[in-house]
Amino acid sequence: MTLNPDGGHYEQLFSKAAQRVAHQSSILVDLPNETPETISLAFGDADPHIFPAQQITASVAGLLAEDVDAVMNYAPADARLLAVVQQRLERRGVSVDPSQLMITYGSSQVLGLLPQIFVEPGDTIIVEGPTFLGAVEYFAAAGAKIETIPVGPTGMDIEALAACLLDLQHRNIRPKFIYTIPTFQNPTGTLMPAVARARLVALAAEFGVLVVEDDAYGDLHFKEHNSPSMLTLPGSEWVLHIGTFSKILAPGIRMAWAYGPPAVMKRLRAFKSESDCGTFVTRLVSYMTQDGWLDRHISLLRSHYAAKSTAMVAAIAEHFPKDVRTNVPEGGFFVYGYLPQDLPAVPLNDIAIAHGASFLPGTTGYANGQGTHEMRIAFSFQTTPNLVTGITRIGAAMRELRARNS
Amino acid sequence: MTINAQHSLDALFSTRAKTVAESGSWGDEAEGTISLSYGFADPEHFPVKQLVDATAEILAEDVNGALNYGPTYPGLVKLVVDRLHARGVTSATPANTMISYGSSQILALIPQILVDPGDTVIVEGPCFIGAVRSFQEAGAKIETVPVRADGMDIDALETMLKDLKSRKIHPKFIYTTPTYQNPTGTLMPLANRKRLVALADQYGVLILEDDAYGDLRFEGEALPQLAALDTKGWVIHVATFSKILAPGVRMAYCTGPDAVIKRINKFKIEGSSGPFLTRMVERFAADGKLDTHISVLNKTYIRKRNVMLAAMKKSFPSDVRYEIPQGGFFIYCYLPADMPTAKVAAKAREHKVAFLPGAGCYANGQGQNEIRLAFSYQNDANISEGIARLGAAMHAVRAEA
Repeated sequence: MTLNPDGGHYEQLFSKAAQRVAHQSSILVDLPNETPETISLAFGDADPHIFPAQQITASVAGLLAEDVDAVMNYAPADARLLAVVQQRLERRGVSVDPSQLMITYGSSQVLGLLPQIFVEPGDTIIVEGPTFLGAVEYFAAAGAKIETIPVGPTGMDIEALAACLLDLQHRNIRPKFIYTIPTFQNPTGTLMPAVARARLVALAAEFGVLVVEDDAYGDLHFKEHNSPSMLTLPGSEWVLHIGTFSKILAPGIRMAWAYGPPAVMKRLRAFKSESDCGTFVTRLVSYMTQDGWLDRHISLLRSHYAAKSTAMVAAIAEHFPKDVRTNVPEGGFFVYGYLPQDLPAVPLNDIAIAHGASFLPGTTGYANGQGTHEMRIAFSFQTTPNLVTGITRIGAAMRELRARNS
Repeated sequence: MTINAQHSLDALFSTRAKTVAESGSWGDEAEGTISLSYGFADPEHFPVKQLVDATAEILAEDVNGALNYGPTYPGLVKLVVDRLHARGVTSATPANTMISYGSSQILALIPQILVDPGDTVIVEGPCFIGAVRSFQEAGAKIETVPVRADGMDIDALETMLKDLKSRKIHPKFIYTTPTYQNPTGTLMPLANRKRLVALADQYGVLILEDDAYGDLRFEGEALPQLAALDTKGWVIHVATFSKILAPGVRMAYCTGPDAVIKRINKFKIEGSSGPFLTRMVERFAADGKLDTHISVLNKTYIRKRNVMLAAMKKSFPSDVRYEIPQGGFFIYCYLPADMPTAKVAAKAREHKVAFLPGAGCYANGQGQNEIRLAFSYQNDANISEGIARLGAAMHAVRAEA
């Protein structure tokens, strides 16, 4: 959205913060121009074929039959959904103090509040490269200076992080927080090993920097792994954990949570403009999870997305040139690819769209213009036949671009 | 929590997050108390079946649209724009109309885009203090204009604007609930509405019109909203589904000058108000269903108002003054001098009835002999019994004086 910096006769009425946003430019890169016929593998939408429509309808009916006044009237925050989240965190070994937990309208709400409570223009934030740039956009919009740490095959490069922190310290710069997606990272799908997690949290505590652990994909593992939530590690008092129902229930419900240090949670609550999330939607989500339903649904999702991931990886092996490197995800929504020099992602995507498929060029995951030869391919949304067709088309586009170059 | 000795987490916070107010808590009332305190909606008329049907329909028709990532449902924005147009707010367009998580969200975002610490905001006294708190949290200096039997005192407002101007103070906005005001239930007459809008233009001040109760008109003529009278773009109009659907759903909307709405949208950091909820509300409201529901509500609320008025006539001392509201949720009472609210409240606790003290509706400590009574929530029998108890408490206060 572009704002006319000239607020007309209101200009002098706007607060300084509102005047500032009018002059901001976005760090987000233009998204591919898909057509309605394009098989889009660009976006990390959830698979609509596995949305729990029946469970939602039945739960709305059950909930309203049970206690309509408490659900529909003005009420303080209901503790039931907090208890659901608490239990889920405890099963992962986190010792939870419920007063440090809050429910939000999507994790984007937490990501949007973070710069409000941490960032003055010129402050430094550390992010992964590539990362979920939607989050970084919030930080950059608040005037944060963004430091990018590379992501390798096992997630964020912790030695590079240590060097960055040391360098910043030498320059008397104390970064405000480190934004990381350690589990099935967006966009690379990488899983940060337990040792690296421990080192990251220890570094955060040593340098006095908050870690923001975005755990959007944590429940969607295709096989068991032993990478713990950063909340369970020594130094966890420096960790703010963000989780969401978007991937395990439905994004359109907009329900997420944050757990972190009391001082941070107190400020997140104060800055969450509409205060508590509504009783209707929070009670609905807690009602849906009853009797083990959510656990059963999550195991269904795991096998569903695992099968789609496998189908995509197989199609890639068959249709992509051998010098395109891709990782094999152990969870999450994405396959990430590294392209050879003669296959830059943006022109490749234009050709792919002409062939009827699209992906997300790597540049959309970097705040610093990197990623020209990288690609994110989402297996989450499309049906398996479409995934295979889409990969076939992208493979054809790769060969076409290569033929044009030679 | 243990903090690394060398580093304090507190040092990381931004300037405006360094100190934050503690959040308020809900009042405790003794077991068996009949509360006439809060403006809760009638619990017997929540449209349960309609909402269940709406949920089933939207999920059957477009499960991906309702449950995947997506914007606020454009159909809900259109429905709201159509309703605004029907009420004469012809300036509303999909671009300058937005959906929010309750009007409390808009009322908290407005100061973010309009108020720097020390700026002046004009409010009614009494008024909905929840809004005033969010203005104060942004550092606003609050100026209070009295509310008379016909709403905000426009002469007093003009005097204040003149005075502020002479002191080179440019207030940012005027917060008003002209229609069935909270807490007084008053309705601002057309002539005053026109003057208010003209004054805003003359002094270059925005108006924040809170129309939470506008659809709850039991009797009398519908008056145009300030936004319908505004041709120069000075009115930000906020309204909600809380009173006409259910507060727990947290859906409201706002329209106003493009430059203002664009900025509020920027500060509504989570973006969309949820594809699922916005589609459900649209489907519940579409095809005239909302108007049908509103007429059911208005029949209910006028009945409850009349039950409360009859009980007040029977039980209250005759020198307790009040106006008869033509809509909304509340009856507001002015108590005689020998009946200060604090004493009545203490006695009412013994008699197991609760109300909202008038002082809770002023930013400046006024309202010491005023009380707000909500007829919206309790059933007829409880309203009668609650008012009887309150009347007894009033008589007891007088007897002890």
